[in-house]
Parts: sequence; structure tokens; C-alpha cells
Amino acid sequence: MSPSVSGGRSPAAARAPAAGGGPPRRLVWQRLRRDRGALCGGTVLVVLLLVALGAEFIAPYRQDTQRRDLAFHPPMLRQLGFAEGAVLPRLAVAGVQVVDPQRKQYAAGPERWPIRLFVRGEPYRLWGLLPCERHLFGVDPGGVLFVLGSDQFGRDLLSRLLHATRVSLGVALLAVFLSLALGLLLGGLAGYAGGWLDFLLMRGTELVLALPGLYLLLALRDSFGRELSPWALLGVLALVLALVEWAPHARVIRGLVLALRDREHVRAARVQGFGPASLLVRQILPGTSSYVIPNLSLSLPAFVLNEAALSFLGLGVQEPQASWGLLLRDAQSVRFLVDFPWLLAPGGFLFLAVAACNLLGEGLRDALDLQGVRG
Amino acid sequence: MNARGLILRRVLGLLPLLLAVSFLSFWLLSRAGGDAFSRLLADPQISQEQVAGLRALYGLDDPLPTRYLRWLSRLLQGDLGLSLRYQLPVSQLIRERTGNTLLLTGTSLVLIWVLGVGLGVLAALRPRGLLDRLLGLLAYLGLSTPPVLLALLLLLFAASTGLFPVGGLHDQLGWDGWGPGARLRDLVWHLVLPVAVLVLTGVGGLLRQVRGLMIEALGLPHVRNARLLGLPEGLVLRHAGRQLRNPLLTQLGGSLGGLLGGSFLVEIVFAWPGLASLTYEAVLQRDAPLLLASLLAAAVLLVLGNLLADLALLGLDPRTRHAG
Amino acid sequence: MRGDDRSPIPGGRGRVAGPVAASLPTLLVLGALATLLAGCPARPEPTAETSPSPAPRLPEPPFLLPLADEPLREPAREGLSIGRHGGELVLPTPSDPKTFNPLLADEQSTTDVLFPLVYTTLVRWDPLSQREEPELATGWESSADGRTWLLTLRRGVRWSDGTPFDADDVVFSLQVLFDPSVPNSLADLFKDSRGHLPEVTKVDAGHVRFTLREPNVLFLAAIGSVYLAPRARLERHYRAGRLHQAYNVLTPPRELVASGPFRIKTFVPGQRLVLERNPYYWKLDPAGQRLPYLDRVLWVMVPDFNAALLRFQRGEIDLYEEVPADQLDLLERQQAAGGYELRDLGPALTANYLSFNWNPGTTADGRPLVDPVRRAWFADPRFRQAVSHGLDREGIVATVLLGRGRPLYCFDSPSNRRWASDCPRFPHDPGRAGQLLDELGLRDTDADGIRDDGRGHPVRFAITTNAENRERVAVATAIKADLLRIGVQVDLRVLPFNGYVTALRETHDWEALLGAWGAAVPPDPVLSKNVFLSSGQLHLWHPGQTQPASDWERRLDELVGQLSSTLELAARQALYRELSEIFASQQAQIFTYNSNQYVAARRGIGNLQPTVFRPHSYWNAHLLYRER
Repeated sequence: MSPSVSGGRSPAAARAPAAGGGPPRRLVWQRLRRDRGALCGGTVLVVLLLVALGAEFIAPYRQDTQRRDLAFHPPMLRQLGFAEGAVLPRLAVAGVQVVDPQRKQYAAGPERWPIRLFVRGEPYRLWGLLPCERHLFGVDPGGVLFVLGSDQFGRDLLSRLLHATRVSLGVALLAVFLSLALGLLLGGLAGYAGGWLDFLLMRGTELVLALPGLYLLLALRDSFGRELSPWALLGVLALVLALVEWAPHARVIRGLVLALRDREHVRAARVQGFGPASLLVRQILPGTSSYVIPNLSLSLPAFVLNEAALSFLGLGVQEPQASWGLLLRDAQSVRFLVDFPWLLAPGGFLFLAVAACNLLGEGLRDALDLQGVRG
Repeated sequence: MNARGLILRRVLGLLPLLLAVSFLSFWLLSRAGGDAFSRLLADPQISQEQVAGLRALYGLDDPLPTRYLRWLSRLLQGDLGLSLRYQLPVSQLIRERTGNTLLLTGTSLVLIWVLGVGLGVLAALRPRGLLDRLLGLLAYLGLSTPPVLLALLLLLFAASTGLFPVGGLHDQLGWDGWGPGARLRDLVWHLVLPVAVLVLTGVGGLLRQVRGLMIEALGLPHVRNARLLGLPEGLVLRHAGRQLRNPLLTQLGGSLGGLLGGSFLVEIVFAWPGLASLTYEAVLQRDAPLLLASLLAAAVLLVLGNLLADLALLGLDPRTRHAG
Repeated sequence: MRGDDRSPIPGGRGRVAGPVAASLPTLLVLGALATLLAGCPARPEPTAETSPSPAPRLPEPPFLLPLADEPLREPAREGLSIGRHGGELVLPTPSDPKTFNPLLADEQSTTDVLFPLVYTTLVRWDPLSQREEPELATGWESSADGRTWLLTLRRGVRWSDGTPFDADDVVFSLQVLFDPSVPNSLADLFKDSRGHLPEVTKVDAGHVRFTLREPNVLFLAAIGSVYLAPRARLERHYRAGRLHQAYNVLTPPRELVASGPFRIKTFVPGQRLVLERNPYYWKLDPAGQRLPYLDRVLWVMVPDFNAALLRFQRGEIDLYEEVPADQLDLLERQQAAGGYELRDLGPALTANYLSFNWNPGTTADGRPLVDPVRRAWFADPRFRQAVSHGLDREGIVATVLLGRGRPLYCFDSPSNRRWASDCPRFPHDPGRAGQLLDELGLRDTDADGIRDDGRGHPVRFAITTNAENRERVAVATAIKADLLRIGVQVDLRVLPFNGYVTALRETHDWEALLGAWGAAVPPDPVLSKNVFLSSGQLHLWHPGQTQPASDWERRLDELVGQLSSTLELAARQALYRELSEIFASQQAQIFTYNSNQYVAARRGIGNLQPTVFRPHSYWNAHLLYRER
């Protein structure tokens, strides 16, 4: 169970498929195409990834631009309207008037700011490299556009959310790769080599499994990376998350490798004189793909949630960077929740991502299953 | 392998595991920076000399191996040691807390399994039907909600409607004067919300898994045949359900291990006097004996859970008896 | 006691006295229940099964117990009304106390719940009159040279188990605190400039004499911070070297004896600490009634701030101190409907600062604590003044505190009326900040928006803060944005609390740091001498100097020395004015903001006179009562 913490030791991850090479690629693709859930999930994930990639460009503002006079401005959906255009009226937002700065009450002003595409706005560096100043959409300087509202510092929530998507997905994906790679490496070694190495590695796995996830996470987070640049911190976060979650993978993969080791094609290859390393890499590990590939997607949500848990304790991603967990931390004040409910918007993204990962993961698992089509 | 052999092997395996868990925790804690008394220095009135004195008093200035061996030798005499901050035997400190945590997580575990298995099977009966989709949606919703946030929303709900208490284990004012009946009702009433958080966020995974296994089982040739032959649905289900037993039993064993650590943040938000707040404080305060005791308890519980699952498998399924 | 409420029942076991007094506790419980029951069918009805023995009523057996021979009768004064007995008060605390031993209590979770409710002192610093008042000592006199103090103890006072309190308890308590093998912070208050401790002698059962080697301005303040322990209960543990295990949180409450208005009744770890009236309490109200008024004080463990707020709003908590800034608007809006009031106590005593580190020392492995290039900037007062000019303090207050506070430029909070004075200010002025940085040769030569020294060193530093303190992290975020406007790049270094404290106090490896000074009680500058003295541990920018590194630091040392030995207030205030002026014009620390202090209190608590000093609302718990 351990619902709040180690979602990553979730049933989906612990479930072992039958060992085998998996069905041919074309069949997989056919099956996947027929699975509408998986397709939806895949699409959403791809969109989120694209958003993550182009966050600076898609976002109307930088993630740390503060408009302290406009803190906790509600989403500007009501201010949306039309302005006179040259040919057709175009979408516009009203200007903002501050009614009560203490109570954070705002009203729509008389002026209209048309929402433009490819608008010239705050300069930024795409991926930290290319200097740009065009944004996908926005309003001219002088107007403000808070599609999802603003936070305590008057920062645009949508812009922060888009940047957070990059951080959260990035960390989670990196953690997924790391944990599966660790699982493959250690589980593969244990299963293939057997003997004392197997014994040692499996006891190590049990050791990690035996420590409650969040305490391990806390202790690891505390002992690594007290002094880090923001980007290095993300790497360390991913590493720490992965170190907590690799053990179940290693266990399953060891089981799979154990079964694969004595398969005919492996024996044949061994007779042909392949060394253990190439045997493992070429003949055996591909056989675990029906477990590994779906889990690339299935185990992702756990990392996102664990990052959120670390952020709740203030030990996750640090300001002024944003992540879904860190943004949701703001919504964890009763007062903010009551008065500024738009701060829950990151929860929507979180939900989308988790559902998409699960749908895609389950679809992949079904599609890679040799034993026939389910459902 | 017989049951006795299995138990013996597991128990023997437990010892090195506990050793390793304890050493790893000791090491991580010492790496984490600061010790049980560094926090005191946050108070400007407290001098470095005072903290140095406290460190010397409790031997914290000894090197790590010395401290570990000292702790270990006490443990071998059956003594979990003194908490550094409370100056109390750790066993005394955690006894009641463990019970409270188990009450919360145990109740949730039972509900998760009842709901997860029941609803999972229901969903599997008509894959992609209305009920299946609805349950799927709810499962994802639960899976993707950070438990802290759900806990907070439920607290807010409790506060604004007055239907449930705002956290705590029981009524702090009246409890001492009540009879057993009122106490029981009060306790259940306080349990509802934290259990709801754990169940809502925890049931989704199991539900999806049971559904998958069940769909798979219903697709097996002999089950399909039974269905085609028009056997009563109950019988078909029982056939299919047999396929679920082994994987689920194994997993149940595993989830017993999560009983002590799984409700961490929920306990904090709901002011539940469980092991979580104590252990969390122990982490923050680098109170090694206190932390180690709860980690060891968790490890023992995990091994016990797996052992129970294996024993059940052994009893239920003759094949495993020869496979081992 | 007034009128017909007074009807002592012979035989010790009280039943019903006056009808009103009798039913009040029950009524309170019922009242609380009625509101809860309104929307709640599932709620158990405890009244149905309430045990037959009724809740304690007044007058009750404790009042038959002997009063001290020389009780303290609270003088009648404005704002003090005669209360009525009965009722209870519920307060929240975020974590369990760690010990019940008053001599070992060293953290807030312990001191907040015990002092001054359960244990008390010889003299008490009164937050209203702002001077020392008699408590367990009725008087004190010092010799002309200020080196001998004679304290007269209150006669006939008893601990809550009925055993007499006398000079032995005082001598024992101080003996323990002065014992070098019992690490504690109180002994430091008694140490003179050479580290000598006073000699404590019992003259007779009612008198204690202190012999000092040098006069100590703060002698009474030091005496006022010693919460006395019962010798009879603790001495054998102390002699056996088991003091740290004695009076722990699992000690049976009947073994714990109190000198304050309440004694410990039950402690349920993680849930509640119940204090009940100390039947031997030695104070009377102006009308001559026995105190305290309240039957019980209940501490409820609520680790989460949100839960504390919700419980307070639901009426399950009566006093809510230290309300976080984000909850204030909500509380203020709903106070009429919620049956409580939010009291603004004025500027908090906490002074928040941004500090730079120009410590020339090295780490254990020989690296400099601070990068030498940056250290040179930090050490220049113009740099610090520029940073101060760069800070938009109003903006920080509006954003982070949601307007509940004010900019702060000096060491002392305006609430510290005796010592706060005006000081040189370096307010928000990006233009002036830019000039100062230009003067230092820090210009943006490569047009990347960040100033540099022309030799490839961008003006950049890291601000250290701790992760658990959301307010501080938010301030750091705001400062980062502010300083970027004057071309200075700030990185945030957010450490877990332990790491933060260790960096601050032990390893000293930080460049800039956000922190706060809380005020000692009494708020005398000499109690902050560790900040001012160049040899002090809290001389943050360069602690523990053997020789003052600069002229102004040497002058600070001299001024602190004079402050410690001068007795007359006006002269001391003049000395301190010079000190704070130097401190501010050097911008030794850059003070940032000062938040408002609030207490939220349920309506109908009599004699509530909260102050900015800790504890804010229950320092006079013996006088608090529940109005009808």
C-alpha cells in the first residue's frame, strides 16, 4: 500500500510480465493504434513534452518576472473580450485596476490590450542558448496577461506552470531512466551471474526495500546536495528519487533474466562463443523489454508525486525555479486555497500527466504482451 | 521446502538485513550534517560551549564506528537505547505511537484491499464499459492527487461543514471522562478523514492491477470455455479468481511492510499522534536511536509481511512447495 | 471568592456548590458540543456516557489546602478585573515537550508549555511595567558596590505536593546550573567578564546571598530566567548522575511538583498535555480570592499550521499565538462570525536581517570560507550600503507579509521602546545603489545586465536560508529580483534547517545569509553582546576575533564593556545610541523588515493582556478566566 509515499512501488511496477522477446514490432504498433486510451495518453504526453521543451517560447513571461503590485490576480478569463482590429475584431484582455491592494482585489480597466501571436516580449534564451524575444502569444508591454492568474509575487502562473512542466517532467524522466537503468544493471547482473553476486545484490535490494521510502528520501536528500546550482540540484533530485525506487525493478528484472538465461537462443549464442557481457546485452536484456518499456511510462507518476512530497517539506526544487510540486505547495495554505483557488491549477497538469502515463503504460504493456490481446 | 525451513531461512536472513539497515541509516544520518544538538544553536542565547558539552555528554563527538558499535552492543542486550532529545528509552517512546500508526494504516490497508479487489473485479467484468471507465477515471484521479493536498482539502471540508473533526486521534477535552462506547465512536469518527485520504490515493493502483489480472484471467482458455459453456458467472469468477491469488498474496505481503511509513505526510497534516511525527522529528534532530528503532520496526514488518505471504502461498498452492 | 460561590464542603470530596458554578464546566462542554452536533449525526454524544462523577467544581478541596504565609496579592490596577473560578483554556503547540525538568528545558517546544505555567522564578520581568517584580522572592537588595545581593524568599510557599519551598531549592537549582557537567545557557548570564560565576549561599531558610566578583547590570534579569526546581525530588538523581533522565516526559505526573499556577495532570505524547490548578498556588487576586481562576489549561499538539488555524476557527482552540502572515486576512475577516478577535500587538520584537560574511578564515581543508574577491566587496561598507539601497523593503513587506509589517533599518524593533532609537538609514534607492557600486569599480562592462569588476568576476553571491521557513525563502526570492535591478546577481542557497544552523554557527561557510534576531527578555542590549563584541560567537560577519579587525569594531567592544558596567539608565541609553549608530552606518548587518505580532483569542477570556513579549498571551495565566 504505502499510498502517500512510495507510489513507485505501485502494483503496476511490481507486476512481472512473462519473460520473452515480445511480439514483433509491427504487431505492437497495430495493437497500440487500436488502444484509444493509450493513444490519448501518448498524445497528451507528447504535448506536455513539447510544452516542456518550448516553455520559454510558449510562456508569455519569464518564470521569475515579478509584478508585486499585481499579486494574486485571478485568472483573466473574465477580462477576455474583443478589441477593434484592422479587419476583424480580435481577442483582447482588459487592463487591470487595483481596487484593494491589501485584500488583493482587482477590477477590469477601460483599456483593451489585443492578444497577439509571436509578440515581442521579455528577452530570454531558448534552452539557455539562443537569445530570443518573441513569445508565442502575449500582449504588448504595458498590458498584462495572466491567463491562469498570478502568485504571491505577481508572477504569471501559466508561465511558471509551463516552466514547471519542464522541471517536473525532466526530473521524473531522468529518474525513471536512472532507476530502470540501475534495475537493469543490478537485476541483470544478479540474474545472470547468480551465486554470491546474486545473493549480495538481492540482499542489497531488500535493504532498500526495507527502508520506508520517504525517510530514505529525506535522509538522502539531506546528505546529498546541500550546495548546488539549481540545475545540478535537479540532477541530484532525480538521482535521489531513483535511488529510492530502483529496487523493485531490479527484483523483477532478475526474475526475468533468470528465466531467460536458459532459453534456447541464449544457449545457442553461448555455444557460439559470445562472452557474458554481449550475451547479457544482446540476448538477454532485450527480453526484458516487455517489462521495461511500459514501466518507462508507468513508474513516472510516482516520481512526480515524490518530488511533490519533497517540495512540501521544502527540500525539493527551489525558488525561483518552479515544479508542479513546488507550485502546489503554495496551494497548501488554507488561506490561499480559500481566497486564491487558481493556485490549484498545477494539480490539473499533474493529473493530466499521471493519467496519460498510466494510460500509455498500460497500453504498452498490453501491446507488448505475448499472451494475447486483453480487454 | 517446508514451512519451518522457510521461516528459519527468513529469520536468519533478517539479521544481516537489520544490521545493514541500521548501519546505512546511521551513516546517512551522520552524513546529513549537524547532530542532535546543532538545532539548539538556532537560539542565539545558546553558546557553542553548551552544545559542545552536550555532545561530549552523549558521546556524539566519538567517531561513527564507535558510536555505531556502542549502539549495536546495547541492542544485542535488548536495549534500543536512549533517545538523545527525550532522554528516554526509545522503546517506551515509540510503543504507543506505533499502535496509533498501525490503527490508521491497518484500517486503510483493509479498505484498500476490499475496495481495490472488489472494484477491480467489477471493472474487469465489462472492460471499457461505463463502470470500468468511471472507475478508471477515479483511480487516476486518486493516483495523481498528492496526498497532502487531498488531506488539506478534506480538513477544509471538515472545518467548514463540521461533519468531521479537524485532525487528531480523539477528542482532547472529553476523552478522559468517557466510557468505552463513546470512545470507540469518537475514534472511528476521527479515523474517517485520514483513512479516506490514504484509501482514495492508494486504492487506484491496486484497482488497476486487479482489473488487469482479472481481464487476463478471464481471457484464459479454460475460463473462456467455462463461460462459453454457460457455467454460472460465480463459478467462472472463482476459476478466474484463482489466477489472481498468487500475485495478489505476494503483493499483500509487500504492502504490510509499508504499514509504518506509508502515512507520513497525512499524519502530519491530520495531527495524528503516530510514528510519523516522531520519526520525522528524529530525522530533523538527528536523533539516531529514535530513528533507527522505527526504521528497524519497518524492516521487520516488511520481512514478516513477505514471510506471511509466502507461508500462505505455501499452504494454498502445492506447486510452490516443490518449486522452492 | 465572591458571594455564594464560596461554600467549602467538609470532608474533602466536593459535590455541587452554587448552581451556576456547578454546571459551568459541563455547560462549556455542552456548548462546544452543541455547535459541533449541529451538522453532525455521526458525532458521538459523550454526555450520555459521561462518567457519573461530575467535572471538578468550585469551591473544591484544593481551596481547603493551606495558603502561603505570605501570599502575593495582585494589586488592583487598570485592566485587571476580578474573575470567576472554573473553566479551561486550550492552546496549540506544534510538537511535544522534550522534558519536564525546568533546569534542562532548552527548546521552545518545552519552555513554551512549562514556563510560566508550571514553574516559576524568584523575580519576574513584567511585560507591562517592563521591570522586575517580586515572585518567589519578596525583595532583594544589593550592596553599595553591587557585588553582594541578598534575596528574601516568600514565606510559607509550598510546591504543588505540599512540601515547603525554601532556600535549599534555590541553592540546589543554581548549583545544578553552575555545574559545568550540565551544559546550559543560563550560567552564561551569570558569568562576569572573566567567566567567573557568583557564589550562592543559603543564609537561612528564607534568604539567599549571591557574592559576585564584579557588579552585573543584568543580575536580576539572570535571576529572573532561572525557573526553580524542587530539590527534594531531583537532588538524588543529580547526585547519582541521572539528572538528564529525571523528570522526563514519561515520569508519572504525581511525581512532578510545580511552583506555578498549574501542575501537570496528564501527558499523552503526540496528543495533549493537561495542566490542572496547583492547589497550593500562592497568589491571590485583588479581592483576596485564591488563584488561578482556571481549572485547567490544555496544550494540544497540532503540528501543521493549517490544522491549527482550522481548529481555532472551529472553536477547539482558545488562544492562537504566532499566527503566520498568510492566515491573518482570513482570521480578520471572520472574527465577528467566528466569535474570536485578532489582536494586533504592534511590531514584533524579531528583527530580520540580511548579513554578509567577510570572515577571513579558512575551512578545515584550508580553502577560504569566502571567495577572496567577493570577500573584499562584502568587507567594504559601501557595498553593503549599496545592497541596502537596492532592497525594496516596502515591496517585501507588501508581498511576503501581505502588508502586515514595516521596513526595518536598525537593530531594534520599534517595540523595544527603552532601547530602540533612530539610526542612519539606507532606504530603497536604486540610483544611489548604482552610484556606490560604480564607485567601487563594479560596472557592467560586458553588457549582460550583471555588473562585474572588469577582471571577469561578475557581482554575484549566494544568499543562504533555510528550507522550512517559507517566509524567509520568499524574502530571498524578492531580494533576488530587487538586486537584479541594480545589476547584482543573487543565487539562493536553501539549506535544510540543520545545515543552515551549522553554517551559521559552526562552519561559517556562507556568503550572505537571511536570519532574524529574537529579543531576549528583558530586551537589554547587553544580552545581545555576542553580536556586537568582535570576539562574540554571533558577530556574524567575522566571529571570534582575537583582536578587533577594524576601528569601528574596537569601538563597539568598548561600548559594550561600558554598557555592562554602567548602572544608570540614561547613561546606558546614550552609550547604546552611539553603538547602534555605528552598527547601522557600517551596515554591519542589513536589517530588512519587522512583522506585526498577532494573537487570535476567543471572546470571553477575562484579563487577557497580550504583549509582544513571549509568551504573548498567557504570561498572566493565573489571572485569566472565562467570562460567563
